[in-house]
Amino acid sequence: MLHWQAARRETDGFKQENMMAVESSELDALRESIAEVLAAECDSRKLHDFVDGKDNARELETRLWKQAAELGWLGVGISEANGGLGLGVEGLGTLHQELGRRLVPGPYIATLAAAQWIEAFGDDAAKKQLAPIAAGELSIAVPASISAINATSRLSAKGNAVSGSMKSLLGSPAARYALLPVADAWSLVELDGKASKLSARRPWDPTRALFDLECQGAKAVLSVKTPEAGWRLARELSLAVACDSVGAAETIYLQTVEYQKTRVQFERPLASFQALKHRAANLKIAHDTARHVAGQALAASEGPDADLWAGLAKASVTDAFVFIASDCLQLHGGVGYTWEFDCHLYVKRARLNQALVGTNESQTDTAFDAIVAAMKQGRSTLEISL
Amino acid sequence: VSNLLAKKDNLDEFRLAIRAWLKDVLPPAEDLERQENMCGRDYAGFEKFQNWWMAELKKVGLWTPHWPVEAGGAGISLKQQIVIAEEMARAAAPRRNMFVITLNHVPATLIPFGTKYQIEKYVAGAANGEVWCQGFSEPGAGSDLAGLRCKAELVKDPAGDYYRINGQKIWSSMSKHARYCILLARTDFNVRKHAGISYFLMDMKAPGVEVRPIRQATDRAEFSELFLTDVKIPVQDLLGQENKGWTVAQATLASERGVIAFEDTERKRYEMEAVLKKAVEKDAAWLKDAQLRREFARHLATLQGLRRLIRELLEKNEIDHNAPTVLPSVIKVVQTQLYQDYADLLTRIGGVEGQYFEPEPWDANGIPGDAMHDFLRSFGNTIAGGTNEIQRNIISERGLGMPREK
Repeated sequence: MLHWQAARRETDGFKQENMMAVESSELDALRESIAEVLAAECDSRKLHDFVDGKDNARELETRLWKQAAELGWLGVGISEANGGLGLGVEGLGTLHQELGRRLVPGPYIATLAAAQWIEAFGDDAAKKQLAPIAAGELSIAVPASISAINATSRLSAKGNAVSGSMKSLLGSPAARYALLPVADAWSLVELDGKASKLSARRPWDPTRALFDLECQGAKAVLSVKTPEAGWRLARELSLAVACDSVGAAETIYLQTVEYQKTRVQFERPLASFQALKHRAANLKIAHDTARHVAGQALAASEGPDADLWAGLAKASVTDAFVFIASDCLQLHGGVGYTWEFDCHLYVKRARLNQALVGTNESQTDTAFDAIVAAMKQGRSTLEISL
Repeated sequence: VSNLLAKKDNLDEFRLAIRAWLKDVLPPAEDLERQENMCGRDYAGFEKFQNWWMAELKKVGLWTPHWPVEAGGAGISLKQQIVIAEEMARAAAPRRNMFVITLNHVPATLIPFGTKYQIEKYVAGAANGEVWCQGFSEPGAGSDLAGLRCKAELVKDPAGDYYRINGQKIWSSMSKHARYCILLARTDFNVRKHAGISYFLMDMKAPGVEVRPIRQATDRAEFSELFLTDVKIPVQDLLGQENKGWTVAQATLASERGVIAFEDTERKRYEMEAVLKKAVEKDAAWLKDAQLRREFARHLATLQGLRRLIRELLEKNEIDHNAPTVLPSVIKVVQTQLYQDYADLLTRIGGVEGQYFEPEPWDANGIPGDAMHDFLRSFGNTIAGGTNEIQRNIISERGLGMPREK
């Protein structure tokens, strides 16, 4: 029964090598404090209990959300002027990486990406919602796939009254707002439970909530018509998903290596077989590359190529995560295929991450076009400042 | 033009000065490419070209700037080295292929382990441009380098004691051009294999040294076999103590601190951008192929990840270059695999027109020169310098703490 506990790893020895490079000590302190809290509050046992809906285990999500608010995590990316910590994309990247590491359940990616969107496009009234977001008082849902909205959205507006339906929103079914594509605009729509109805669906990833929306005259409190509005949301989501994947992939691959050190067959640990050692090395190689591709997207996030690198990083990093998580399941052998081990949770998170925002193929296509467009303007998209 | 190092303390000025000088000194790109292509084909032509480049570098202080001051270098910082490497890559300046061992391995090994005589003679000679090669691998000792069998026997002689060397070395790059060789040979066959190896400085003109180029899959011959028959190496050319050669060799193998990989990857960046630019200019057909476009874009993502991985290593090295890390092994695999995958892509883009031995450069498919050559050559990178399989052993054992092979 305790196999998964024996296989839990302590990553301290790897910390330096496997963390995304950050410059400021502030980010390091943030990272350490998040990691410390989550190690205690969202370990493998608690996560499995949550997934299985044991006793009061479903409260894990709300308890962590409350703690996240109290510790300031939800305001990491929100500017100080609007009631946050103002640690920008680097701070957000750090948070998502640490949340991903523990597969923390909750509407973090949707809500915090929407908050960044409000910072960029919101009017004063909308920006007033940022402080309650930082305080954990409300969450926001977003389309799980931005590139599929033509197929998933049947929303229209009369004035600021939104009606119709939308499939596959990401966030929490208790979301106060949803950021939605309505006709040719992106609208922040109030979900009051009367003019709107959310129906939860059951995604394979049991740590994330997806649901469908129906509304009849729901109130749009903000509408933005520039095309940048959709790109910006896609960018924020892509960055978050990429960082989430970096953290999660690291946990499962290091956990797998530790498992191989304890599992004995043919009178020797699996970790001593060269065929398996090389597989493990490939996991580290894939992860080391992926964390720096995510780093590329974070570093580019203030410049003209922010969208392109966020999209390309999301595609590249989530593909790496699927490879890593799948191989980790295989490397565990039979127990990797069981419900009680962690592997399947990471495979499911990886698969959902891969599908979020847009297919990796479409995001890669968009990136390629942007690279060529910049080139035609005589600008390189590959500069790295020292 | 005077010594560019005069500007080194202001990195921006240093960079601009190097850039301006390179613009001035480099011949047209076609000439450069032709001369680079003599490598492994036209020995005399390549040697002349490399020596020309060395002379130009010497004039402006960029020949051995990374060497310590006491060895005749300028002891420049890692950041300053990076600026030089970046500008060399940007300008597609000639690589210093013929001098890799000379410029890096020789000082890194001789300065800590050499006698006064050895340093004065050989390090000074290397600074003057005497070419060195490396005699480490043997037909029977590749990945298992410590299993080497080349024999060195101490011979007492009134004219001066010497070691008599008999054996065979292989994969010795640039040895057709070399004046000296850093050589590993076995002085004791009766102890643990690592404990019986000694490190020598061998004169390539000594009687009994025969160099036979190895024809590669690319039809070039960049490296050779060395046949050593009763070669005399004077005892003063033993580096470090007898039977302590393995320890000395670790300094040689650790001499590369990431700057070479850095410059090489920066060159790849400009190369990939140039290919894409040409394809866009020519409106090449492959730009409309979804599969090929996506592969190209993903290679650019990997390239950026790799470039940042190398920067992580350089930053670590700046803090403490003795700190244990497997990043060099990770970088080696990522880099060489990217080069191979990228060449694979270009080969497919090239189609039948890319299958000729000397294809038209920048043909209708927008392929620069010879993608097939690059693809074949890429195996040189995945195999040399410790095969990628050996790197995976290192990563899993030293990086992930998995048990060593027995």
